[in-house]
Amino acid sequence: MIYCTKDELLKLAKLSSLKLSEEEIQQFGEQLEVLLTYLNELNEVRPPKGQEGARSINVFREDRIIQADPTLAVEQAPRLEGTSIIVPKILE
Amino acid sequence: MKSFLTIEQLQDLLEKKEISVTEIVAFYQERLRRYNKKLNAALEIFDDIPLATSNKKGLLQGIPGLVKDNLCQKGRITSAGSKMLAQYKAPYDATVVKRLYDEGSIILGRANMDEFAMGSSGEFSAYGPTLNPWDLTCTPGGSSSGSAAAVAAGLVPWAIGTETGGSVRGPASFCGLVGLYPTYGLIPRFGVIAFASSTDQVGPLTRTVYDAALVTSVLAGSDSKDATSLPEPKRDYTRKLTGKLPTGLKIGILQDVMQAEGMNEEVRTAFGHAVDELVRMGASVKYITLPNLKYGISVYFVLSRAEAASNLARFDGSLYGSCAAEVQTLEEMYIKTRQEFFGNEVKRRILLGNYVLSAKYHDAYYQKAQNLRAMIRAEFEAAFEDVDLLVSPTSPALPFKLGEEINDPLTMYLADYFTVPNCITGLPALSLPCGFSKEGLPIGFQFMGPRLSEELIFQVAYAYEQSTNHHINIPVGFD
Repeated sequence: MIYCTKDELLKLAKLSSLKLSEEEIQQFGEQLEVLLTYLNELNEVRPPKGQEGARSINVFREDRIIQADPTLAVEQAPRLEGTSIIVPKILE
Repeated sequence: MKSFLTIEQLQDLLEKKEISVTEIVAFYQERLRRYNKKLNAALEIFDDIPLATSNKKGLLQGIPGLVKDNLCQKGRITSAGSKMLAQYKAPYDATVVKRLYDEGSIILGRANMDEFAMGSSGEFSAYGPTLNPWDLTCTPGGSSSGSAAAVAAGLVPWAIGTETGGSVRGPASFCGLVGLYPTYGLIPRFGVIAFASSTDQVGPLTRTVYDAALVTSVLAGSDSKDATSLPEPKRDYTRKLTGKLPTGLKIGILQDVMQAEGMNEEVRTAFGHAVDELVRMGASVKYITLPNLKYGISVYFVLSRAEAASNLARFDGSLYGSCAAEVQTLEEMYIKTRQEFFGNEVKRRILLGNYVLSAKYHDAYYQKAQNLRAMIRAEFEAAFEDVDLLVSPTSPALPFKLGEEINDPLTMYLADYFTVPNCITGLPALSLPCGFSKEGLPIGFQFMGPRLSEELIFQVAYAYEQSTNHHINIPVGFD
């Protein structure tokens, strides 16, 4: 693998919070390699000076404080206590 | 009542009181129940339709349809075609869903789709693929697979899809329908489960251009809940459907089209006939070259995967219902949940997204793609100084056979070659039928226009449609 070694793929999986099986490592590794080979064509292009970067503008509005019931946002959490989401321990 | 009526025809019957709303709803519910097993177009057919809404006056009063399952419908499961959201009930309606209800329409169910809208065939749905009504061994295209199949089989007169790289126009082309990718920001995204936020848009799928224009009139317009929504007022997009081309219409054919390798010859021929017809109707045509168009797929790959990796980071087992069992630590919860409940295509895209965003590769891929995006957009804008609209086939291929491309991601992605340029530049395009293959498979072509040119696109498309008869054809086996 040129573009994405097995090591890099495992690091990527960790970044993505995924744990790949051996079969997935093999299959995804090959497929990623094909895709990254294709993407290599991006290297053919040099944007003209001064034209780097996509144009976009930020759209802002004033903060508005509203009354809202947090239950609506959290009630589908698998484990809930009041409006607090329960998760497994974070620190050893 | 006959099957395969358009919205326009149904409204005519309603106005003449030849039929009631209750009868229309019952008719389509029955058709959905009868044929859905065959097609797997709907993930759920609602059995608790509040018929009170059907008396609401509005542009779509009494006309039922389906909504793609990545659009939040309050109180309904909204799964985005994924096991990750198998039990997730949307706490609110998407803006477009609310607008559909406010204009008197009735939503009959949730349409099947590729998982998190990631796919071009419907085969990546966690709930089984949808089949193409024109040929049950073929895919209807994706990711709005269920929406397209349902309309094509006459199970509903309209359906809503979403598009990120081709997911409305591709299925429209494969199913002989009309499908719109609107100007980015014209139709609000509030309540749409995000895949790639800078290209995701909602679009209608209908049998005719008039119907698509009508549904667009319902969906479009500014929304304070969507910061990317344009400050556009509500408009009647059916206003200019005169049946005639505007005088002096100049159409550009993308030069790349004629030279594209791997284009199916029947698609090329049907497209050629469509161009001939436009000329016969009074348009002038010329070839336009967009030198960086060929990088469209790569630009789209990179940007959409990067955004997907970011958008899907929220699915970690803590909030949306699905969570892996027996997890000891937080990290385990994240990893096991995502491993168990995401499908392979989703995982592939997240991995590629994180690859192009990682520090080592960010400039080479992500930044480069952003640069190219701006360059391609500038090329389109320059082209539109010269011509009014551009045309191309919608897909270089005929509908694929089920299972054909699923292990060859690159080939499937290349099918989006003609649709991704609009998505990455945020410019509107409409796909409509231009013919059929020898084996009866639909072929679509598209009009692309400058920003906010939907009225012109609808006008031209309508004129073309009325002078041909592709839209009158129906698939066999859905009487």
